[in-house]
Amino acid sequence: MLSVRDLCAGYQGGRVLNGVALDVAAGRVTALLGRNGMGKTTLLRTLMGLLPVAAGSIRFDGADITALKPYQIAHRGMAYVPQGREIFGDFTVEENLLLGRLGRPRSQHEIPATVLDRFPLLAERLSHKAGTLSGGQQQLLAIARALVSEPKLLLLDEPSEGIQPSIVEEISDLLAGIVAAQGLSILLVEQNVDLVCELAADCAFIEEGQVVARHGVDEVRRDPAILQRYLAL
Amino acid sequence: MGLEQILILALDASNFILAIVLVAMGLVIIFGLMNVINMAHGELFLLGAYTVVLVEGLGGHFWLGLLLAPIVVGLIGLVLEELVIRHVYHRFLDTILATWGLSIAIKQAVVIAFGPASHTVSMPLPYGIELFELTYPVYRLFIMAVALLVILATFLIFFRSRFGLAARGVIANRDMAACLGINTRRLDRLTFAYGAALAGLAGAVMSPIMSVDPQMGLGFLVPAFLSILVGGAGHLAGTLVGASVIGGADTLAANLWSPVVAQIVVFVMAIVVIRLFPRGIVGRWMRR
Repeated sequence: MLSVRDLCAGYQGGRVLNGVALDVAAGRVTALLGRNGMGKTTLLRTLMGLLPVAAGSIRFDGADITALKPYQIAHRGMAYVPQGREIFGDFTVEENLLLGRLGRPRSQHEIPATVLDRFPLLAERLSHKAGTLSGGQQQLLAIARALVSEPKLLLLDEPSEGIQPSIVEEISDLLAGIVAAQGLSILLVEQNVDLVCELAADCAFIEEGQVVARHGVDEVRRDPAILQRYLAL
Repeated sequence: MGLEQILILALDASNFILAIVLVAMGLVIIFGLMNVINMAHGELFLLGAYTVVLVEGLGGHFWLGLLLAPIVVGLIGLVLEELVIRHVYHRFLDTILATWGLSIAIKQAVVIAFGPASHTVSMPLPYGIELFELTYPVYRLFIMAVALLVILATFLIFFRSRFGLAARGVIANRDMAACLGINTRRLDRLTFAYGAALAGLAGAVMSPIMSVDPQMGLGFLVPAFLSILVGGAGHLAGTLVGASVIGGADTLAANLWSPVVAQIVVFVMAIVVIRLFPRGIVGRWMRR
């Protein structure tokens, strides 16, 4: 689904990614783990085309997308739920979802019923200002907004950050259901190890802008030393 | 002052206000979307008026000029955006310098092409309508109708269409909008052209009741800017309120005293309003 090779990127002040190699298999959840400042968010932003690629290549769904712009990458089926959600607070829930649909051809303007069915809480609040929703509801909205484009790959940046456990549980069940039913692939950046263990099939560990190890989630569950090595401060 | 004069004054004020709104709306949309303060917006107004002069000079009718002006100026806007504006988007101060430069260049180009003297455009509807004891020019009512329609259309476009939703999305959060599949480059281009077309239309529709000369843009750019400051730059509704305050005060003071006094009144009022409501009158009532 996604194949990253020797990827270097960063900001004007300095390079953050130093030759990332990463594969995300189709129809599975791959978790990306690492301490703060190791380049997780930078990697997602680079994949989405928000940051320029300095070197290396990104292949997505059989095509080279290294030099494409964010909207072109979105059109090819990649969707992004950024850290902090970045929903449009002054817009209604419905407008937020319609914005997620704007990348589609004109004839497919409607919000797909399948998404509304999965998010009954949002379906009830379509005319509410998104800014009036609780943090957890806003996270659900950000995920729903990404899903209305019917993506092939979802980039999720810390969906559990600052959200009450009951909604984290809900998000986890929801995503697991979508992956199972629709074969969606997810690249999940997450600090919450419970959520990772519940959702992910594979774990990749990032350190100093490089993916330094990969383990199946069973291995990670069996051997706490792995998490200790890459996550402990 | 009799009731009739008050009515005439109100009509004149509405006339001026609506023309300012056409100019200011383009400015506000361009500023909101691209963070560009377009100092050349008055010259886009100017180009609209000169499009009519040119069409009439070639033997065409005023109405043809009025129809062509927004199209011609919109296309000019498209070219300016491609050649100049897009290169300075991210440097706020440079956008002011660059568009100021454009403004001077356009003015001089007009002087070279049409000469420094003023031109007159034929009055397309040379009729009056009886209002109580007085007659009022029908063409001024036409100006108001055109402006109202265009303002309404702009609101519908921005609050009821896919394009408008995308534009508002880009204004709110450019990066996120791009990640949702919105081509922000294309939107910038179209929006700049739309704002330019509005100014061009305003210039053309006002040309029969003004003297068309290379300086005429400034007379609308300044009140348009003041309207935005007074009303609040964050929303189209603020522009309506700001233009009503500025245009209304200007017309009233000019009639009661003189145009010079009107200028002073308007500037003092703008300073007071900005001091009291730094985010504009409408901005004050909006959250954050």
